[in-house]
Amino acid sequence: MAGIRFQSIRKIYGKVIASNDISLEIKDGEFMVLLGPSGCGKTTLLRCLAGLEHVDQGRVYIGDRDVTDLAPRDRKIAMVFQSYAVFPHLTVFNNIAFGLQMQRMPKEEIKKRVYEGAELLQLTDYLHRFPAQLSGGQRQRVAVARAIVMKAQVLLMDEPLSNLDALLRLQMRAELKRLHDEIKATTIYVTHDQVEALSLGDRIAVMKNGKIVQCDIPMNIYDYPANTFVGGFIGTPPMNFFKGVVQADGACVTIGESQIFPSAGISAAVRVRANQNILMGIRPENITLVRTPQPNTLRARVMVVEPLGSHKLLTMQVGAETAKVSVPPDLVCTSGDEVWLHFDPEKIRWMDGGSGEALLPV
Amino acid sequence: MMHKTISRRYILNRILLYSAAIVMALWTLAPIYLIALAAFSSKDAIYLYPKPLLPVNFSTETMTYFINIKGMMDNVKNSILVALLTIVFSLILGAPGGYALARFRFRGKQALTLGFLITKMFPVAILAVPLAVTFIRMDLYDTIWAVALVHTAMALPFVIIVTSGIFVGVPRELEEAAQTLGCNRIQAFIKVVMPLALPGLAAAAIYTFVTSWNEVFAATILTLRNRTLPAQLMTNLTESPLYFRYAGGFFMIIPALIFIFIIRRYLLNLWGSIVK
Repeated sequence: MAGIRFQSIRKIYGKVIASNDISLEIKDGEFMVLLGPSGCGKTTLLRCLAGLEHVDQGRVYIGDRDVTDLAPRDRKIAMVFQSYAVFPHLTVFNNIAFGLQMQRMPKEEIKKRVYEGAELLQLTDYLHRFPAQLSGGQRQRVAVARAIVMKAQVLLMDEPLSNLDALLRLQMRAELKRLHDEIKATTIYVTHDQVEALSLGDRIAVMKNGKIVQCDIPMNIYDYPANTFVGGFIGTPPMNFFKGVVQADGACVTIGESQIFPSAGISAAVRVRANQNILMGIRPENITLVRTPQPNTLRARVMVVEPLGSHKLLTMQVGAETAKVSVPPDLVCTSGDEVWLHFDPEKIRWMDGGSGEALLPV
Repeated sequence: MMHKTISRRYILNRILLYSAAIVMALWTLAPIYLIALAAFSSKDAIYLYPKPLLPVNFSTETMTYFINIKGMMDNVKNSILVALLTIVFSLILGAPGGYALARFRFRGKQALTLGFLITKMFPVAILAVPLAVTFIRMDLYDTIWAVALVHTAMALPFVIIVTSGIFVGVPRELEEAAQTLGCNRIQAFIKVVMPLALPGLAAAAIYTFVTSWNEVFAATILTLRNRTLPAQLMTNLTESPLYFRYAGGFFMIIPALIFIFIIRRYLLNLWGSIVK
């Protein structure tokens, strides 16, 4: 077992900077998720760790070893690929055994490990089949089993669930989590699916344009996004943002015709921005509806009501902007209703109107 | 009513399809059959008129005569050796080329691919004389090596382009997976890419064999005594009797037929089973 350290990694493809001086430390046994939209450089970072790409600059460490110049096979890693990369000409058994055979492990030991791995991923009945005779989900399991039996220090997964259908993805997600609890290998998991990231990660590194924008535990990423990008990328539907201006005395923020008072914790940071543009970020579930005008609320009109079973999703017209609000399923409202939105003041994330960076308490 | 018209149209389509298939099959098979018929008749039967379309005069006389002509078996041996050498050369040179085209991005890749094809533009007739001179200087003239080299040059563009298509069909991630599982690049190629590319490589080998086996011109010009079979037949054709021609023709067809039959399974495999 070993931790991982990226030290100012830079990787350039032609004119595209895929990794822009990325530094990141992953603790031994940690499940780290690299999350970001396609093209943000998350897979590149993973491939640099695997040794499938050469870094243009920077060092990669696994444990105490500098692996920057080592071939993939010398890095003591195991990887699960997005397309599974299961060898079509080998049976499930031989697929899982492939890496062990390359290590020239004794036959008995290989057999034992393959059966263990197959057991763990419920593949025991399929060991003598060929990949073409398996379903997508089973192939996926073979890929995972093949990586796990290596008992590598580090397990890398590149969007392993993205080719599965929704239900299977849900199942495999839980299974991967259970698996990690069992084998406790340091794991790096690349995904563009924020739900996967939130559910699996011990920590999440959110990436954009070759940089890590925020790296934190899932609930902090969700509750305290570092900027508008993270707030907008994570959560379905994403965070709402309202444009406002800090009043001259700095005590409150004018949004449309209303005033919103920041909570005590952040008020000092807002106060120093008198007369500046500011963004109020708030998640749909942290908004409540009131029927009459009250202080600290915004007037809104219900445009669309979507009953989703566990809750209702409302699309609101607020001034010139739209907002999503999540309300209890039994709340009665119809499109056209005029309501006032009340925001849980502790859950509001104030952000700079220009840069989009979140304000931090001073 | 609706149902009936559909099934009628379906039957009509089938009839058309099968007639077309039969016509195409006959187009190829009829000459082969007629040649085989003549090759396995007695010498005199060939001059019969009207010619019987069934093997009523079956005899191995013609073929025995052909096989026993002095030097003929040497020519056959030469032909086979040349073809095998050509396969070996063109796969050793062509497959890595195809692999490089498939896997690596580099400047001038398109131009290079086109360049390979451009070599096919020069007629062998133009190249043959300077080649003969070169081979005389290199002391390779009138050897099977010379012929094999020329045939390799002729087959190489095709082999490179076909094999690159095959290697493109083998997902790169498979190779990378093998690398993370303890292979170096070469092991990954041998253990994963090769088995998956084999049917395609076999097809390329067949094409190379047939190209070489059938090639007359270069073989005729570049050899005197160590002739390949087609070169030998070509030189003797005008002054030999009809039954000799038929026997020779039949002999030319055999290896191609055998090869195609052996490889057919792989060819079908190739189209059917490159797995994602």
